[in-house]
Amino acid sequence: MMYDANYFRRFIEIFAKYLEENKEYLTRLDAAIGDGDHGINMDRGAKAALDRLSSTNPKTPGEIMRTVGMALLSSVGGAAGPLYGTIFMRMSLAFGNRDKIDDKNLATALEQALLGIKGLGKAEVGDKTMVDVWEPVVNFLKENIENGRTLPEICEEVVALAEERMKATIPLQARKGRASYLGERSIGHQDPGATSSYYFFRSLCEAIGGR
Amino acid sequence: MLSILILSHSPDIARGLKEMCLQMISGDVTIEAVGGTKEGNLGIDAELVLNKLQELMANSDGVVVLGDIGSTILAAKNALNMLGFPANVCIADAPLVEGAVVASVEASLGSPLQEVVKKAEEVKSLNKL
Repeated sequence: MMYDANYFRRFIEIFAKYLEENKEYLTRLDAAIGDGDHGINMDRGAKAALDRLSSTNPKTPGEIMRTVGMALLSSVGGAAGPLYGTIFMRMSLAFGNRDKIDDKNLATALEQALLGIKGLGKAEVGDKTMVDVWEPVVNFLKENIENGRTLPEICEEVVALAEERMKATIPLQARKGRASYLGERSIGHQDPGATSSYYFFRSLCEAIGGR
Repeated sequence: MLSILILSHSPDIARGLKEMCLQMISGDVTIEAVGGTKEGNLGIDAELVLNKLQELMANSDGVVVLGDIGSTILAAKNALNMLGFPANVCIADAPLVEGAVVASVEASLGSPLQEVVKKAEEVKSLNKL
C-alpha cells in the first residue's frame, strides 16, 4: 500500500482523538506512578499539532511529521515532549521529500523512531516505558513487511500485540523516569507512556480505513 | 566567553537559580534559564530549549547545559541531536543548583568548556557535612 499526506493527516487526527478521549485515563495512570500530567500534556500537544497543521498546511508526509514533531516539542511539557517529538522528527527525516510512502519506507521510519527514543531515554525493553510497546511492535512490523506483507494485512495483529505489550508493563518495576523513584511501588500499575504508544499504533492502523 | 544554560521543570527554580548564579560571577559569562511550559506550569518547552541553545551557541564560544529531572535532560539531548552534536555544547552530569553555581563561577574565571564541565560534575561527590 502507498501512504500519502492524507493518510498521515488522518493518522494524526485519530491519534489526537484518542488522546483527547483518554486524557483523564492517561493522567490517572501517570498520577499512580509519575507526576500525573501525561494525559493533559499529550492532549495539549496533539491539539497544538492539529493547530499547526491547519495554519501551515504542510504538503508531504515528511513535512506533516516534522510539523507535528515541532508542535509536540514545544507543547507537551514533560518527558513525553522530547520523546514523541523525536519519533515524529525521525520519521520525517526517514520520509524525506517523498509524496508517497510505501510499507518498507514506513517500517524504516518507525525503526528510526525507535532508535531515536532508545538513544534519548536509554530505556530497554522491561524498564516499564514506551519502549516496551515500541520495540516488539516495530520488530513485528519490520519482519512482516520484509516478508512481503503490508500494514493493512497485519493491522489486527499489530493492535493486539501493542495492547498485549502495554498490559505487560503492569507487573514490571520501573527503571526509568519519575516512576523509577518509586522502586517496587511502581509494580502493579500500567505505564502511561506504553499506553499512549498503544494509541499511536492503533491510530496508524485505523488511519488506513478511516475510523 | 562561555554560556551556562539552566533547565528546570519549574519556572521558579529556573528564575531563582539564574539569579543566584548571576550574583556569584565576576567575569564575562552569559547565564540563561528555561523552565516550565509555555503556560508557566511545571514542565519544559523543548522547542524553546532548542532555540535558546542555538542563540547561546551563536553568541558565545561554548555552552554548558545543566538540568534537573528527566524531562529537562531529554529536552537538552533532543536539542543536541537536532543540532548534530555541536562540539562546543556539553551537558554537565551534575546536580542542578550546586552544579550551575560552580559552573558559573568557573566560567567567569575564564576556564575552558571541558574544565567548567569537570568542575560542575565534581559537585556530585561534594560533602556538605
